[in-house]
Amino acid sequence: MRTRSSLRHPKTPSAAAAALPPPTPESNPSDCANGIARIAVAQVCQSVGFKSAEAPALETLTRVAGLYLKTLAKAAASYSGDSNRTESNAFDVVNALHELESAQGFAGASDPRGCCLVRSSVVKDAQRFLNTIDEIPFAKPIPRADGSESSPAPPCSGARLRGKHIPDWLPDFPEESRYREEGCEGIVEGRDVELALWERTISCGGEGVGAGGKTGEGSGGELRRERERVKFQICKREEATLIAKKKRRTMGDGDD
Amino acid sequence: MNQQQQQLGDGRRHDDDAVLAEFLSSLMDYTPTIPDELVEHFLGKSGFHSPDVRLIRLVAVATQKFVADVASDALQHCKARSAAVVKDKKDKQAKDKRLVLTMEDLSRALREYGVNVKHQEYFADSPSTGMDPASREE
Repeated sequence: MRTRSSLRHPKTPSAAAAALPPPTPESNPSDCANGIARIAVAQVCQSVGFKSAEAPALETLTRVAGLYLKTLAKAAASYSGDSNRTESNAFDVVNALHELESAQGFAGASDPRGCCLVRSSVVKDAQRFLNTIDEIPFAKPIPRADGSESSPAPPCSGARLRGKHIPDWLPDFPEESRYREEGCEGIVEGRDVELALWERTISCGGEGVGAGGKTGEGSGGELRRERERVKFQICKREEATLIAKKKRRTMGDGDD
Repeated sequence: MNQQQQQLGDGRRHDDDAVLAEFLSSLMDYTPTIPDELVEHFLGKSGFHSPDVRLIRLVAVATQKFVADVASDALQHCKARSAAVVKDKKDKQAKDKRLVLTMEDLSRALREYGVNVKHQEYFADSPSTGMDPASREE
């Protein structure tokens, strides 16, 4: 069974046009994007001259348009990456357009010296397309997502400022409390960084070694000066067993 | 002569740069049918990063042009198919109503752009659907 979806007339968008429903937490972002893309593709089809469209055909064309967009973006991103850049520029986009148009061909594609990006025929075709068609704005207002929904956090949140040498697309640094404990400020002084980190990993209470070897409670990596002395006696085996028995007796009395 | 040629070449390059810059700036005055939010969503998914809004508009215009070209090719196929059927003047209204985007016309149009779309003609409930009763009994 064929189902037809009627297209809206783009010339008279009514003021009472129903807006798109706001995105719910359960809705998939890709579903929302597909819905918006379907409306835009339907408007383009209507501007070309179609009166209606079959649902599978409209869905297919929407999917192909989305794939075209993604392929164009990936190609432009790869061109900028090959040039050791993280931000794409106009020439990356023009090169990506040349790549996609090469299947059909465009003027200047066969030039062995390479396609001139500034005098690109693809860009001129796009310019001609802009001059011939009427402006068709999107039919429905797009709802904005709430702040509670997943959105990329700003790169520099909080009072921590990052240098300009750090790109914005990198995540923020972790909180200082996660990698630096309190009271450990003096440990690094006079020490190499590697050793300081090693000391920090063991424990970090008290003054530590960097302060001159003073006894600290729980200062890891350092033996306490005042400790029990272990006495060694060289004697015969029989005498050693007698001494051990005496010790056990004394310890057993102590327990009682 | 060489200096004159070089000056001419520089002049042409400057003109071409100006034309490209003017085109990019004119994109800000035009609102494409595909909204910027949708384009940014797809660009972000593909790893495209650019602070320039004009490039987003350029990508949107290029995509709109692609969809319009495919749709116009499909319309030509549809008109060619219906022109062979319609003969009377009374059927002109019916001809307008028949301007429907179908999978058949769309697949023909997309084939020229290197996209192969195969649509199932119908879906059968069972292997014996559509067969003669005599052969079905067998």
